[in-house]
Amino acid sequence: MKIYFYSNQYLNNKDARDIITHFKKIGVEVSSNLDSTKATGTEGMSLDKVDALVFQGEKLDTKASYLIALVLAQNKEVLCLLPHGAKPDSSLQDLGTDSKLAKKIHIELYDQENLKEKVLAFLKIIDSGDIRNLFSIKYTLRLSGKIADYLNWKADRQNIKKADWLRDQIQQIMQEDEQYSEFIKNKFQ
Amino acid sequence: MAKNNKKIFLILAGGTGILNERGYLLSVQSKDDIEDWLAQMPELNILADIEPIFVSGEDDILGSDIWHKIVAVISDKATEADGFVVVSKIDQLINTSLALTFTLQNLKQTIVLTSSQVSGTSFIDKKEIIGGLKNKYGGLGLRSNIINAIQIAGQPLPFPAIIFGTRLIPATKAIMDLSNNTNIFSSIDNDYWGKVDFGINVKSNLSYSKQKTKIYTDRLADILILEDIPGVPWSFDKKALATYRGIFITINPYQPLEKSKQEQIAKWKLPTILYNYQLTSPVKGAVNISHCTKNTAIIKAMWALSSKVKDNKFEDLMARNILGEFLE
Repeated sequence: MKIYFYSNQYLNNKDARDIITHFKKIGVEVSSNLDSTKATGTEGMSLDKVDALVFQGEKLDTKASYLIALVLAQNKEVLCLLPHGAKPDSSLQDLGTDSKLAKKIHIELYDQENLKEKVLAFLKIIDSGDIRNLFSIKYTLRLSGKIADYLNWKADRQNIKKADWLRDQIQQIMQEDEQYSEFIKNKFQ
Repeated sequence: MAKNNKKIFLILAGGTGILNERGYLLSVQSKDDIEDWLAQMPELNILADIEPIFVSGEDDILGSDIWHKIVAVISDKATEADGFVVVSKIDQLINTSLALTFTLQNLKQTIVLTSSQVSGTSFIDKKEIIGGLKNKYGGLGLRSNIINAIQIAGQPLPFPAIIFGTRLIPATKAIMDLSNNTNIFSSIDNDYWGKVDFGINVKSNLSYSKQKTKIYTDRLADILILEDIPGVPWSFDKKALATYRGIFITINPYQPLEKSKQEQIAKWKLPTILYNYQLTSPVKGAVNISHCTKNTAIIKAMWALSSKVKDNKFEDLMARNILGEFLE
């Protein structure tokens, strides 16, 4: 899972560091405007490759507005984390009440006590979202001739695409794997 | 509203196709459609103070008459605008951007053009293409394109540019690249004014003209466009050319134009442009153009032959590098 984290509070932003740490601890790949290394900034990756956007700060700036609009246009989730006491931007509130976007934009007020909880709750939403169920990740799979023969024969016999048959098999294995179910249950604890 | 609350006019002239939640194709065919169409993109409201202006419908023929109307709208609204986003048909986007480039020279406000991946309201003929784009990209790309365009329209640019997918391309360098669905337009010399990744990064070293704004409000001239094939004669006479102000002919770079064709050009006594990107052999009575995109050469000729510009010598105008349209 990939997340882009944006904050317009550049100095001594402990909350931002904590948020990024919470993400990284559970294996989420985070790119951020606060990260000065080239590998995560604008190099080699674009916004359409991330699963969600997280904004943290008291008020939106132009860049934050742009990123939120673009991510929403891609039908992905946005989490806006505002420190307790901050007043949500009026345009942000409008988006929060829009029938189409209300499900995608999550505006949360946080304090030190509940920050981790808010972050993990959001991750649960993304993990179960539509985007995560899309078959959008491409694999190069090398097979032996024998396995390929079997795959061709099976797909032909059942009159389905080889990729669909493989996906169905993996889904079935996933559902029956009790250890994995247990892992998923505790993933965001 | 966004903090800087920039005033951006959203000029609509085709290219407005968008898929709604149910997967139906929505577009702006008349003024009455704008409200529903904009409601599909509520995200735009956090970016700027946006005012839509209807110029032409999705199925209208886009050409000189509509470019003329767009120029009139832009020159009328220029004083109150921070920038303009022109949404127009994808198949004419390069020509539209060039028409605005030559008619609205050195305008202080930025003009950015963009489009949906498809144009036209009929669904059946485009069903497969639309289905493919929906499965691959989740839609027709217009939402993201407009969001990027609004963001760019608030920043200075030397002259009109196209934003499509992840590329910002100056009008004079834009060419179509149908091999790539995300980026249908590319730059002829691979030089881009900006790229989109985690934001829009516009080049910091763009050169801006300090000359005064010049707005040419006349309709661009109609010219006849031909592609020469050596050995195939031009079988039409002078009468057939009566309605055109000039003739634009794409020729081969290395083979001189046949003598009979050179004689025809001399007889027509009509401004004639011979174009090839690499080089052209000189022909008496014709203007030779190379080292610019074909679209640039055509639209520049249409502009140079329009009535307000005609006091200047046509040959001089065509040879002059007015906006950096000739590539080194």
